[in-house]
Amino acid sequence: MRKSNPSFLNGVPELLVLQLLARREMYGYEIVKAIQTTSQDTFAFGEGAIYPVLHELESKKLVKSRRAEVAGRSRLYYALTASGKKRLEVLTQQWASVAAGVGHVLGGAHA
Amino acid sequence: MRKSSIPIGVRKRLLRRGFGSAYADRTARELQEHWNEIFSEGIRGGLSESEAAIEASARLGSEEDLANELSERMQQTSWLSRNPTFGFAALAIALTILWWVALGSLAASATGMFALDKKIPGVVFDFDLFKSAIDWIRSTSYVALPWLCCFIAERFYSGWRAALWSCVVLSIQDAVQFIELTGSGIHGNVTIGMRFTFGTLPPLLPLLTPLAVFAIYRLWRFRDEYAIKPLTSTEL
Repeated sequence: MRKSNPSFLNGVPELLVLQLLARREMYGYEIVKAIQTTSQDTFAFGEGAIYPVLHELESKKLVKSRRAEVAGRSRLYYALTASGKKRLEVLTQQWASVAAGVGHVLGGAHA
Repeated sequence: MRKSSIPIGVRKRLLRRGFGSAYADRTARELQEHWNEIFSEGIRGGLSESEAAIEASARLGSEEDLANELSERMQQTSWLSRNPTFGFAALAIALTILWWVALGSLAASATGMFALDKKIPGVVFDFDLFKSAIDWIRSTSYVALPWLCCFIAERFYSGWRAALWSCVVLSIQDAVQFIELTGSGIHGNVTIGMRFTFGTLPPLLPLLTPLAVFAIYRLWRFRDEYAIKPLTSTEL
């Protein structure tokens, strides 16, 4: 029997954050901006909602943080850990599988 | 730079839910920094200060929503906080066993109980001293174990209800457990067990002390809610 993936359906914010942090370390505001820009404003959410996601990921050791002062402003930068990279690979594969499945269904509906 | 009331509100709500002050402070600081970024963006975009502040607050989200989301997410990060009823009852029992095994062994060793059969010259088992040590272990467990449960509940984002539950379990356990030590000199008996009778009232000190420790812990944290501290960076 194939396993269902309900946790993944709730895991889109994690996937987005991990994917962005895989490119370079970022701080909260920067991550929100990157999500809005790269998704072309597809996702609408209160910007503070990024912190529960980041804190959960940090607590699970998928990301790590360090405080740095840039241009006179102190910011908490987040970066991906080795476990975070592995988790990103898993989530990306799951997403590709779900997207392909949805694509087949939609394709079938249009046929 | 203007300040938003949202980070302070979120901090208070997190503390009220039983989160640690280090985590609440760190979150408030990050939210304030995010608010500052949006505010600056608004000013750069030509908004007045009050318009930029309104825009920043609207984009950051409401205190209640942020506190709810933080609580829910952080409570998913450990097995204990996902299963507080079973987890904290088991924690209270496990800590009690560990406490007695560790300190009981130490007391037995220090009073010469383990050397009884070996007949080491100069080492004489003192049962009266052992009885005093057991009394000390019992008395300190009334305070130390509830405090430890409260600390663990806070550390694992489990909230004050989980801490209270473990203190209730400890309180019941303390009231029904008994350790009787009889004898003197080098001879004595140790009887350990659980006892509950409807005929007599349970002893009040072991019953109430864990709950009093919980109340003091909560009051201590309640003080944090109104303390204005410099917001510092902390690890999760």
